[in-house]
Amino acid sequence: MKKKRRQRNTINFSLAVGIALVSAVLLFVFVGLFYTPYDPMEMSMTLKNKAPSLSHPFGTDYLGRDILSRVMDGAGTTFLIGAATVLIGLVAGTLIGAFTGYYGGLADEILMRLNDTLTSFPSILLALVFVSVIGTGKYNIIIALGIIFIPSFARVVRGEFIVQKELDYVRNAKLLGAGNLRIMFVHILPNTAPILISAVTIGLNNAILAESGMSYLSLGVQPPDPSLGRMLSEAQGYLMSAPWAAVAPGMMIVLTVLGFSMISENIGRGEMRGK
Amino acid sequence: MRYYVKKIISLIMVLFLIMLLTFIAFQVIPGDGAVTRLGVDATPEAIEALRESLGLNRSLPARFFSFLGGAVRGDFGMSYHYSKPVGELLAARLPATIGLAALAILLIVAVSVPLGLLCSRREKGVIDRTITMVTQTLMAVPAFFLGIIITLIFGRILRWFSPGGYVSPGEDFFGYLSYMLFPAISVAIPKIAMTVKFLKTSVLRELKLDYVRTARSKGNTERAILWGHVLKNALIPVITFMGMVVADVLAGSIVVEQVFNLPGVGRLLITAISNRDYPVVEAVVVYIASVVLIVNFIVDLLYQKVDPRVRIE
Amino acid sequence: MENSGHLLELSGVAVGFPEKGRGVKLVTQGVSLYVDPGEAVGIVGESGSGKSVSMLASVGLLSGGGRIVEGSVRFLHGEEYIELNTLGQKELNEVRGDEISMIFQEPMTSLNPVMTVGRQVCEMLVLHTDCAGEERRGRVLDMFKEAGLSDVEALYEKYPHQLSGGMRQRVMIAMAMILRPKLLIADEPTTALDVTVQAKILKLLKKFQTEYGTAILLISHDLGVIRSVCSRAAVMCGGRIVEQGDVENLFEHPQEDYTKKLLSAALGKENVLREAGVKSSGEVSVRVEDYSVFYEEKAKRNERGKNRIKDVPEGKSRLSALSALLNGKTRREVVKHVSFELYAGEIVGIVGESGCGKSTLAKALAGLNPLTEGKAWISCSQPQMVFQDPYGSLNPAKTIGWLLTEPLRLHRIGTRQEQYRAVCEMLDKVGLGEKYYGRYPGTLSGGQRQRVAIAMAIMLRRSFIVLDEPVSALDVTVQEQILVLLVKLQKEFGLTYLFISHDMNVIHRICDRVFVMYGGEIVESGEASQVFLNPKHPYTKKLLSARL
Repeated sequence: MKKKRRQRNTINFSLAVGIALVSAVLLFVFVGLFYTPYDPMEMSMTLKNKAPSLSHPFGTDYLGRDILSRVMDGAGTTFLIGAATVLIGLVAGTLIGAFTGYYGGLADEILMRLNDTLTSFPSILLALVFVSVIGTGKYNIIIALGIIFIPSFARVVRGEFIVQKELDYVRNAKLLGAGNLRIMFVHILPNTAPILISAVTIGLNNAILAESGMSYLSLGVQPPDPSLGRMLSEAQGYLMSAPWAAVAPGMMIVLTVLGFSMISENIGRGEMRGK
Repeated sequence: MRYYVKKIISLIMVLFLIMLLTFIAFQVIPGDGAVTRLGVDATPEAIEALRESLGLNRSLPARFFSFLGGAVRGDFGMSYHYSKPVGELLAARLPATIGLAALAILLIVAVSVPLGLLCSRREKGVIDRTITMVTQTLMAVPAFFLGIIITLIFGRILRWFSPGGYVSPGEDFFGYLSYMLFPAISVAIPKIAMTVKFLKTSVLRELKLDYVRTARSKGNTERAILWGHVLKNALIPVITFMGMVVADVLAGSIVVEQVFNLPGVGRLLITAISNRDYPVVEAVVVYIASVVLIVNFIVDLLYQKVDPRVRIE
Repeated sequence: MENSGHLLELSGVAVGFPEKGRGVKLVTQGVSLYVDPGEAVGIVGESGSGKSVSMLASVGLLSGGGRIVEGSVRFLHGEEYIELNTLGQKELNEVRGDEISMIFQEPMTSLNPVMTVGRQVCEMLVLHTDCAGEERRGRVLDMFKEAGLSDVEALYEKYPHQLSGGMRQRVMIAMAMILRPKLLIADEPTTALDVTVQAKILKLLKKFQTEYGTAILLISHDLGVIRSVCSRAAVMCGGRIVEQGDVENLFEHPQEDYTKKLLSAALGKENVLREAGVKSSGEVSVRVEDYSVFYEEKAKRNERGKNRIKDVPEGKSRLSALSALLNGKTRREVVKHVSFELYAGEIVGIVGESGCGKSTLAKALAGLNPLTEGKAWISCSQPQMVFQDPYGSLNPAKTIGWLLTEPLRLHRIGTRQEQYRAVCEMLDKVGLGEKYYGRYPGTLSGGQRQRVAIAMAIMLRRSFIVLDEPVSALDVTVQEQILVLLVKLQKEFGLTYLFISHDMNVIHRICDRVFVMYGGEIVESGEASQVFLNPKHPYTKKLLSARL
């Protein structure tokens, strides 16, 4: 009994930590939109590679820029790209998944074959191909990652629709005279919400990781736009003299991803318990 | 037998499709290969001559089929940037990438299977909790950040290896392995975390099923149930998962090669993209796509082998 | 400890599960029971009565942390008794399989899916005997034959999914009996099987009981099953044994109210719910002529059958047959040329085993399967349906109120206030009341959900309603309430029911007339009482004899 009790506490604890982490990061980013302690672009010859201090809590980088301000700004960019990407994937993926899952047929088969092939490739590779075709930069990254995320959302929604459409409540709705569109979007769609929420948090993580990876490779967000990945690649050259320049943006990514994964994990588990 | 033939045909068709898509993608890019190579200052005559010699003046289908024909023979044309055959460039970069991927996969399997089983046997125990917590955190660390930390700690502070160094396996095999080890660890750690979690979930799910109760009712010990009954069932989903992990390891190595300055295919790709060296990009994309598809194919075969329910007679 | 001669003795057993928060939740209390060597004892009760739990706990097979918290379980091991509930894991493993073996309800999931059935049976010999190699294989093959399986050499190499349900259960029995255990615990061994297969499996169990002298402890919710195998039985309810004794005595002269209720529900003895001779107006409500329903391996999307006369022209069906052929889909005729008429105000039952086509026919009549041939004329537009599984038939994302308003919304009936009032009125009629308006299906019990489903079917006031196994997923006592409700509503709204069920007793209690379906055809029809008293078709007789 004692064991059981502890287990419940850990579930709540881990969800709470996840929510706390994500809220803290969101607050940090939100404040960064309006206020940063210093201008994130302002360079200073005298302040090169300074260790964290009271005036610069995260230190300064090789150009004397304040790292805290840059992390705030960069995290904002990363979040914006992540959110926009997931939105594209979610909307398009849900539409495609709903129609293919509900109607089935030839279009479904062709799309899903394509989908299977696409999702078997690592998303960063696809993103690199996209970027080499359409070019780098904030908006190109959003388009590239957004398109790449469509299949995974479509697959999740399709799978759920295939299961749900065979349930008797759908038959019941048909008997009552509901049309196909109403059945799809009023009756079935709300039932995919739990799985979609989980897919969204996982998608946000993947988007954040992909974007920072691309920016690290200098194929993502281009200067002067700040970005966490880019900060890491710049910091790598001064690893011995200014390790803090790598730690701050890196930890920012880790905490964000950890927060979202803790949330998605526990939502998923809650679902399982509910059933 | 017919199943395998069908599978192989579909594999070839998908490969063909990928080549077609890659080819088209790089044809629609604004900009001219010849201009890229000679620079914007080159005379129109020189550009024209180069276009002719690169075959850029031929029709699209003709160029596709010569691309395809070349690709089958491993000939992807000349790099714009290095002025060398792409095949040669790729071959020179393969040892680092293959070594990195192979070592990483080895690490993943060797570490995550025992850890996963350990966790599932002691569910909610101290070991399980610790491992769960550590894995959850590690999954959130991007491979390149991990690489940077490992470089900092083991390379710069502890000086266990010299960051940025590399020797070819032909020269000094053990030296080569030692240079591969830390990059491989960076690639492997997040995947180990994922695999441990996946395997644990899979084993725990199986343990709740009725056949385990039957096995208990026969008088099996818990150990015999785990090894004799549960493991094979639990591994079925893990096989598919490992297919995905292999693809992810390839992707991860693209970035990690950059972190550790390894002369691998991934770095070749990144430089080629920055230089708009399209023949090289095409070649690398086709190469990685082939590897991913072949891995998926192998996963399919393994799946057939392990799960009698999907076996085709 | 004194030797009472009993093989297994449970005294005062209480099983508890760890509860969230604190303490232990007791699911059984004071269960005392014995089994003598070679004897067959039954435990009967509804689901959740604690019958399986107490037996699984006795041999330490409960999952989820459940265990015996009080009382003792003694088992005669050689000359002495051992206490199963305090036995160490190693000793327990020696007894399990060797002296006490088990079979379970679901033979598919109870067998390891990736191990050949031969090896699974063989494992018993590996664990508990010294025999090896060819001898082992030979013993397994012999045992397969004993268990009534044929082609045993090939069977040895087969996997569970390649066998039928009945064969799987025979394999389970072969596995359980190969070491000639002293006690076999059979937990609902026939519940997942078809009626006709059930009887054979029970016969096999009896055979082993007499030939091997194995005592059987049979757990079932089905009184008929208990009666055909056991000499003694215990009735369980709410975690306690309410009555036990000789089967004949228990069933003929039950002492406790609960036993009486259980018996009368099972026997359909309780006065038939419909007054005899309810004559319908004679007005035809449904006319079905030469009606066939097909099933495609990959069924196409369903179309709504709105038409009053569903007359499928020849050409169209040929076309669909052709397209089915082109798609590589196989078309199977599930319902074969049936014809019947239903009169307004009648309750007509269709009875048969799973797979006989009764549900397919029901869905086709409601317009949920477009692959039909022949004529089906229904006096009202779009008949409504009540489905078997009350957990699947209500959308879990919507409130009860929303669900019941949906038909009115779809057909634009009434204003918001009128809709609300109509829904509340309907909730009252099905015995739920207004307070359920804002609740979600997930918070309701199975019986309450089924009430909502019935309310939904009546909302549009269609005169013809198809009930597809509406009470099969419910416990006996809840079944009763739902049946009463259905009869009440039928009278009140003047409805015509087509009542599909595999359960002869339920059909008997509620239907005026009955059709018996077998292999897609109606093999017998007539007044319910007539069919039950004087079944003509051999299949009907078999169904009835399997009942009790």
